Amino acid sequence: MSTRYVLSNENIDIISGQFVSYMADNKVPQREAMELRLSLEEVLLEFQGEFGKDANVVVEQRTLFGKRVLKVQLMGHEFDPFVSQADSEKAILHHIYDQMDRAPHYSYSGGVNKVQFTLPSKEDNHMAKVILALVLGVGFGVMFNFLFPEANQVMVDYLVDPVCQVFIGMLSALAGPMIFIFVMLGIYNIGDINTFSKVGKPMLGRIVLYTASIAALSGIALAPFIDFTWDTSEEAEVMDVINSVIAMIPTNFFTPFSHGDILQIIIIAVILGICFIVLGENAKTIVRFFDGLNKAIAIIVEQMNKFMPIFIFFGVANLIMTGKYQQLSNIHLLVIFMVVTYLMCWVVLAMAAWIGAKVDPVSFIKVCKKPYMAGAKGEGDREIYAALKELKVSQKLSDFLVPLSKVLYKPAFAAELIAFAAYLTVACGYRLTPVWLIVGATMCVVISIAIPPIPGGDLVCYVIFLTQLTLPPEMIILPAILTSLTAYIEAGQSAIAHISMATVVARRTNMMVKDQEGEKNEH
Amino acid sequence: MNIRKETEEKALVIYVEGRLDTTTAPKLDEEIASALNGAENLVLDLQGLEYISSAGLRVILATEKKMAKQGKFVVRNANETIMEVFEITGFADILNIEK
Repeated sequence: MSTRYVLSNENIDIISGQFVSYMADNKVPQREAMELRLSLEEVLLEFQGEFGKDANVVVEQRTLFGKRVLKVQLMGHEFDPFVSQADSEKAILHHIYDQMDRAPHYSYSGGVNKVQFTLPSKEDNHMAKVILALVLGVGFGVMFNFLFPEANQVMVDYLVDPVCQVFIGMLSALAGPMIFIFVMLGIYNIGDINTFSKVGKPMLGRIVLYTASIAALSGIALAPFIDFTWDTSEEAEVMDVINSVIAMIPTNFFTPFSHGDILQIIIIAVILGICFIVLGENAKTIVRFFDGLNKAIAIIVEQMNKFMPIFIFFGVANLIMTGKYQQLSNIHLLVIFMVVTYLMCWVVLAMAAWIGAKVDPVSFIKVCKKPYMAGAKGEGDREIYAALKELKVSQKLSDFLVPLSKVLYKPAFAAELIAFAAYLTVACGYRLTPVWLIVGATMCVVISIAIPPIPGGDLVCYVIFLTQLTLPPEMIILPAILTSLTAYIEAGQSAIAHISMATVVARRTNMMVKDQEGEKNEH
Repeated sequence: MNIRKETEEKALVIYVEGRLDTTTAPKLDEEIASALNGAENLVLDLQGLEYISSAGLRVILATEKKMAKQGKFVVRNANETIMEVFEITGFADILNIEK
């Protein structure tokens, strides 16, 4: 449904009122509805200020691939209402966008300014579907493997295995382009290198350091469970593993994508992202192309994620019907490993806040309780900002760091990767060499930074992880189940990670509230 | 929207009732502008305010900026919904809010 309005004050109120009704009809939670309403009003006021009260705006409500959106379109010169101005009023009012889980999106094409507001998706109890798929998959697999053995192989060859291969194939096909575009656009959207260098560089360095610390500590904690060897007599295999680490410089721009070499893909993405920043306006057309491609891939991955219960059903059935379930007889170890790595995550985050920001671990854990619960329930960033305020981190730094941290810093995911890799080596009877451990730890750190924050993005990264470490790709069924069941824990852990990081960076860059008040007094 | 002005103990109190939206915000802006001359103590009482839009927030923010140079500005008696708007937009940290 699309309607044209003149951008008068009265019509802004009418559009706002209709948007509120639209959200009420779609049962949008109150707080999110308020955020969306205020951001719509801000956009319309900005357009009114720029184009005048006689300008015409077209407002359209539609559903796109299951997502309900409101689109606002205004013909004229390019004007981005979200660009931060020097004016402090606008900078403050942009505070709401930084807290929104689904920030409005601006684009300009064909002489039309377009802003799209996406309503939150209706919750569909994904976990219940996963559990049901798991139970049905076990039942299906047991039925054919033990009760109808004569039909078992036929079912595997003509139904179960092909479905699994299609899923794994699609995930593998998306992995390279998804990581490449996400990293490249992530670098490009940093924008101003000078502004970024003051807080971005110390932050990125710490992201790598803390994630590597989690990997190292987890490896040490899990060492008693792992079959380790210093024997490197299998030189060909060792050289292959070493080459995948040291041959990070790609020989051309295409083979990394055809070979799925993630480290080379990331190198290319970083280089291109920096080049596009340097090119500035000249790179806008190609960046717009990649932005569109990014959205297309995100839609594909999100749609695939909806079919995850089906994949889980067939994947579990496949494991049972092919006898590979026997490798999983010690599945309880996976739970133990995950508990251990999550604990290591907590230890590193608390230690980082203690050493880096002089916040004692007990106080840190007390402050983090509410954000952890809010994060686990998917309640947005309100509690994170409140915790940072309590820890005396300046609002300006919080507004910059928290969104950036959400994109780049996922130590809980790194912890899960390590637990999963350690478990698979035990389940498949691998003997680990020092080089394998180094490659595994490097991959954990790199992938946890490069994973895009979209539903299904983590599963695509697991495929990369399994491939790079030469682990059986069909084992992807385990993280498919795992990520669905532990999403809440990981979300809570991530909230703590963002608080820890922002606190440390604030201390190191003298952007705590008392530091800034001290500077004001000196002046 | 109804606006009423009173003087309480050397403070100018402006009572705002009803809806502060894009249509009514300019009226409040005019009233505040006329009251601001030389005022050292301004109170905005929102007890009767049912709804606030982004335009209303801009008026309050502009008032805060002007009063920061010449005196004290307090916002009081905002209901739960209005307080939630202030929290979402970060105004809870900027304004001097009294219950």
